[in-house]
Amino acid sequence: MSDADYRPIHFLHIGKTGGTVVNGALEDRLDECRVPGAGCHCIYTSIA
Amino acid sequence: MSDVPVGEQFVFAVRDPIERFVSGFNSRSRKGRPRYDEQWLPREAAAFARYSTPSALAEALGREEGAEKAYRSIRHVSSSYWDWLDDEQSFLARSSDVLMVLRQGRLEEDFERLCNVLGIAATLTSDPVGRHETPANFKTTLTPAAVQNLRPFLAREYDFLDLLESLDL
Repeated sequence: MSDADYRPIHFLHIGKTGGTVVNGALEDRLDECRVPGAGCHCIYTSIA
Repeated sequence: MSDVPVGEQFVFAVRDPIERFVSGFNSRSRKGRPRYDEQWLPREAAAFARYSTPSALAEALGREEGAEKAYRSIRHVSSSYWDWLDDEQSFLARSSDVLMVLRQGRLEEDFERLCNVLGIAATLTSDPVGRHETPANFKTTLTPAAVQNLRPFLAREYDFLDLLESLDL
């Protein structure tokens, strides 16, 4: 896949909302995920 | 949110603002330990020297000189959803980019739903340190007076949650 095939998914890590555990579960996984209908993989970024 | 390019999707989690206040106070009072170890800012040290529990601080709001300063000195306590989501107009303009909003109170269920949308198999850790949970020896209850005093300070936080509900997010 080229970079153009990737769709970013951003996680806004709002403090004290469960963000640490969600971020921990996602950060190593979203580079392999696929959004239904999007037809592309996702690049994951976390914005604290 | 302003760091996310327009048209790119984003996810975030929210929780009841009073619960967030309690969690934030206790997190900073232990310097984020054991998961983190972030030293107090001088203003935080002053706040915790005066108020040792979330209820003590909240009860003092509007009653003791310096209580509001202490409230605004503690990271997490002083932060707002709007720090991430800018303002109502900006958020409304970006609402179509919100992939999902998770609720901390039903995090396991919402996370499973998110994974289904993303097409991945992932689980949340059950390790209390990994979850950054408040240790059992910290006080997490608030008196009725403390809750009442907090309401005006958290009004904008509830406004944001109401906005999410109005948008079915």
